[in-house]
Amino acid sequence: MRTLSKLLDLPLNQLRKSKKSRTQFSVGPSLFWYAFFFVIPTGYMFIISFWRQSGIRLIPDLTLGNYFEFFVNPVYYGVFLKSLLIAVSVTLLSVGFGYAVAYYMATRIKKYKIPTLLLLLGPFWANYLLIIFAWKAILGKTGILNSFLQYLGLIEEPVGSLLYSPLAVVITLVHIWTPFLVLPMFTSLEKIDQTLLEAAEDLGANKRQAFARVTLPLSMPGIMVAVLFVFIPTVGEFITPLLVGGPAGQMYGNLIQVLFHRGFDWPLGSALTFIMFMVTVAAASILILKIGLQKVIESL
Amino acid sequence: METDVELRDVTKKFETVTAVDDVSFEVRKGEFFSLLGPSGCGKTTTLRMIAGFEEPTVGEIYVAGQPMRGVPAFKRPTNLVFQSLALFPHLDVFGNIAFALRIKKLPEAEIRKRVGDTLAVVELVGLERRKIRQLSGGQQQRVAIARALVNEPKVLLLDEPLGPLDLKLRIEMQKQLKRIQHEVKTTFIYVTHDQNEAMMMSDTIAVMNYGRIEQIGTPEEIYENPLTSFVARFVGQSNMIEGEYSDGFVVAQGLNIMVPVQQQLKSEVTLFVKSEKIAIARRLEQLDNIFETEVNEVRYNGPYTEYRVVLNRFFLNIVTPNLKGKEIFKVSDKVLVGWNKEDCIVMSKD
Repeated sequence: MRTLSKLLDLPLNQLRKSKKSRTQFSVGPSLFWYAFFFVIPTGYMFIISFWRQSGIRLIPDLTLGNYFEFFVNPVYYGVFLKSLLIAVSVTLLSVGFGYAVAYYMATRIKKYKIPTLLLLLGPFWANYLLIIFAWKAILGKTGILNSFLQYLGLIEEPVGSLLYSPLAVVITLVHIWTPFLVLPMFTSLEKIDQTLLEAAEDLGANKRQAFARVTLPLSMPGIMVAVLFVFIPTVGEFITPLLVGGPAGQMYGNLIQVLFHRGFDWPLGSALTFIMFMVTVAAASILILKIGLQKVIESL
Repeated sequence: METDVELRDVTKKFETVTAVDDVSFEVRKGEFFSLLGPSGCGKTTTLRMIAGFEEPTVGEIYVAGQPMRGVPAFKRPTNLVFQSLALFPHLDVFGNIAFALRIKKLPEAEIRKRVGDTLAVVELVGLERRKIRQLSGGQQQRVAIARALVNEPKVLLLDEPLGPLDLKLRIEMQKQLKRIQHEVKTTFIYVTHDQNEAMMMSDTIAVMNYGRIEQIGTPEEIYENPLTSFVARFVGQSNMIEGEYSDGFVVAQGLNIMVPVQQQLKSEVTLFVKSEKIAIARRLEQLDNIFETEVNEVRYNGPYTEYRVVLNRFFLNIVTPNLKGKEIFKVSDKVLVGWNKEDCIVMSKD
């Protein structure tokens, strides 16, 4: 028993000795994780983005050719712009739907808030791929939507362009993201003191004006968090476009994947990755600076 | 005199609870009117009905002669200073005060002028760009008052806005409120549970209990001539003696207390004597009621001393100012206590 307590006490005593050693101890594992799985691979990719590829061999070099390639080849910058467009559409739609749900939950649902929130998270328990395959079944040529429209007599021939299109990518991604985004926005809305809305009403604001001048600005940090949540991963998305995008719905992430796989051009793939990385970091920084980091953290 | 607010037989029920029970009163234009009562007495509900956040179950409310039934809060000529102040945290001082004017879409130059004028009234000039959380409690109160006043309401409603302040600041704000009301000449309806606050500021006080109005009058009327035993107990610090009345005397625990002759009293009565109406001294003359006793408890309070003495089987609380040269008695000192019959308030026991 004594040896056990000794064993337990020893590291604790050492930890108590100085504040410095304690912080080192607690930050250590996550620091190691980031160094090993994020900083080192990213750094390596950054280095090889200046290299060249010859056959299956990587040739160390210091060339900006890979970056140059992005700006001159319409395939690369074209797909990148299309990806941004898809990401912006998905962000606007899913944040919009998510906000509506969050607003309804925060203001109208008085009882059973927590169970409702859990129900909302239900789709998470289904695998991401299952959701994608479900949409294949809905949007496909012989899918549920086409059969239904034919049954109603609205169309004679099945519409082939539903699945395997940018539209299918947007629909699927909006479905996947929306429940995810309800949470930060719900938290933001839930925190708003209801007497502030009474105060607005007392000062002459109708419901719409009170929403625009009090609710919306006060829930902005939650909205910004939601925007970051969905925009950053969507720009680099590749599974969803691979499965439901078709040739027209291929995104930037698919290009990068092809370059690393079949294309076998790691330096170009790395350069394209870095361009995307820079753009998303810049977008996120602008948003965070605008709203204030403190507020973003508070609404999490 | 012109009437600004009138409540006629107003009742408010929340499911089975009657929060406000058949309340009627009139508030004159430019008056400082207080609703005074313990928590849960219906004073805040009454205020919220005038503001438009609750509809009366029965009865009618008139503001500036207009019936208010069905008029939403944002269309009423009233503004409310909330108990929690409810200042907008995302706006600065200027933005908070300008809120109502921006809703009205007034030209920016006029908004700036009116906010500036109102800031001068509440003595906050120069703090326009401060964030709300950078202000002290007293400054926040004044922003809340300015935000409501800038809209030039017919009636300003105040829901215990001085509650969270410490005593000194509260007294300072009471003076400020009185001065502001004097300057803007708006009708104020003030809700409070603090009798001193109500008496110091009000022209008229309505004392409420259990959703009903017990008495309406000037602070002096309420204090000196309470009409119900609740008002007698709630306002001021009174000694309560239960006894039997006959012919100008109340007999209680073997004491004969001389009181004013009153008709229509039942034999079972309650007698109230305010603590500060009782004299305490080694020698007393020319008082209607004088009793020998000894000091049981002494609480020295600076400007005055509170004594507790035993009379037969009940205690009397006495508050006496520490005038220059006045003796401060000690526990067990033999003293006389006495008061005049006019200082007795006798009511039939209910």
